[in-house]
Amino acid sequence: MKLDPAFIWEAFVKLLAAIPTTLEITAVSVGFGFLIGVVTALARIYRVPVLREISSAYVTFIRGTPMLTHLLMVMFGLPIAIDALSGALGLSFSSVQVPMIGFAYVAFSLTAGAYMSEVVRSGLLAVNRGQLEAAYTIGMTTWQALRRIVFPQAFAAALPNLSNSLIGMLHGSTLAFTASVVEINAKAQIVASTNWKFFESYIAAALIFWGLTIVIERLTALLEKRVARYDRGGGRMIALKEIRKSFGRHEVLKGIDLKVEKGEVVAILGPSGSGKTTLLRCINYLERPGGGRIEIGDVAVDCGHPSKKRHSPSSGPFGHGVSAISSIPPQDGAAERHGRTRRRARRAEG
Amino acid sequence: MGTSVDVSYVFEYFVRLLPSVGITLKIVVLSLLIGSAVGMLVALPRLYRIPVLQRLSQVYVSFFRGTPLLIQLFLIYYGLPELLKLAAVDVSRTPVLVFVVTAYALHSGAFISEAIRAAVGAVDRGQVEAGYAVGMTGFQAFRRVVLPQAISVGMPVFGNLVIANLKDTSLAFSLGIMELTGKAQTLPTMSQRFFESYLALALLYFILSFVLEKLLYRLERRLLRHEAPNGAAASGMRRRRVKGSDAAGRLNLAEEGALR
Repeated sequence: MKLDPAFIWEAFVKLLAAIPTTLEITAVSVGFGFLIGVVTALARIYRVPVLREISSAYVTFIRGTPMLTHLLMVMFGLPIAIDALSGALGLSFSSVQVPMIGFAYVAFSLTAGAYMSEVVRSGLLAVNRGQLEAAYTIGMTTWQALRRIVFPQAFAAALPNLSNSLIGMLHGSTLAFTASVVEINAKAQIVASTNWKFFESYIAAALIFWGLTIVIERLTALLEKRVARYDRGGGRMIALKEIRKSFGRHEVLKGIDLKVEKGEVVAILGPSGSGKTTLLRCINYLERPGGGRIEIGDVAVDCGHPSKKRHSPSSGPFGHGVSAISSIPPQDGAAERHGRTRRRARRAEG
Repeated sequence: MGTSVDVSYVFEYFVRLLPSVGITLKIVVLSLLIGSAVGMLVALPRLYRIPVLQRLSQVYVSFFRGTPLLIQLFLIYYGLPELLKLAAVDVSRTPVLVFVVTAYALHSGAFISEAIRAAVGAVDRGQVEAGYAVGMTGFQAFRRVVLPQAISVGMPVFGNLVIANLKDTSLAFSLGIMELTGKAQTLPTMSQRFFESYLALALLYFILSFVLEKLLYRLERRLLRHEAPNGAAASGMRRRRVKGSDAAGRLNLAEEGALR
């Protein structure tokens, strides 16, 4: 027996008809799996009393057992449950009326849910805790903060894992043949059953799966680029280096460093009189800084040698430590990246 | 099929499944051993950017990560004899287990090679340079400096691959191997208590992966001993550092790709 390239092509064409079934199983399991994943992940992160324990047990059990056993257990366990329930309620519905693919949907959704739970959880945990705090600071409710600030960032962080789960479920859908669902793998067996050219038909099946996987990977890469655009696309917008400003003998700004990327939103927080407005007025040159360097886009302004006008910390009437903003680089927690802050920050400045 | 669940059958089948644990573990151990060797061989051309081989191993990894394991099993089962026939080797009497182990080894080889690549990439470049600075050759620096560090970095990923491999062995029944899953499908033919049998099967897998995970975790901690005097802090630190590095994405890929 020799390899028959013509039959590979023939099988390939026949297998194309089974692609929708495979994609359907994948889409349903990933879709419902994601919902399960979000609920269980939130229950675990927010430590919701009973739900949390159930979620943990569910995730641990599913992740510790093969996907095939989930399908087998649903296929043989669910009918028992359905029949017992309909018997108790006196309904005429019986498990025989459930299409086999329904069991595959339920089983694979449960499988995907556990893996998605971990993906969602790691995505949410990847978002800096300060982001939520910053959102609270400007008066958002928890739900607003989650929806507007946390979820978009978590999605970006989880994207590679989401794509891997999707690919995992795509590959896992081959198990549906156990439930006599004719997806690509089952079809490959049927196609070859007449002439026993299994090798050829499985080559065709492998090529289809390989192609689908590569498409998913490419699409993810595109999406990742799109999602991460705010991060890498811009480059530096504003850079301050050792900005100093004194009014008379009172030194307000004692060498402020700040970098703002394009598209980034920075909130400057500090008590009254700590120099927030002075800093902003220095950036747009309403106030002339006593030293340092300001870069905005391609324009750089040198405001005298930074160290030339250096006062000793105790030279001012208040000593050092009065202006809360001094020497704290605003990136460190005081300023956070998120949407809708700038307007509020400005308003607060008056 | 019964109309209710009889727990006593779960216990009975659990005990009767126990003898089949051996063959499942045999597949796991053999395929991981061969897979590690394959993974190393495949990773090297990409690490050292050897022109043609690099491309080949890229295609290999892409194929074995891009197609379902079940398809690979059938491909090797039906295809390998044909290929070997060309080389005048007759394998018609070879036990099926050989094909199964080959398929699993090639499959995990692809994932292991990615794990190796990521782990080696996670080792600071300065380490190799420092090795050169004290007069080591390239191979010496790799073996004595990079490899020990890479192994400890890559251990969590490898651990996940081991567990994934264990779970994947459940597919071997499709080629007629009487491992755990195959056994669980034949046990209830008389009683028709399939659900109870599969429940026992799931429990057994769960216990196996739980025990494996604990063992691997201990091994991981032992490997990370040098990080800090206190073991728990060490693994935490390491994890954070790996996450931050460029290799992190790839490490996660290898980890999640093993989903099944």
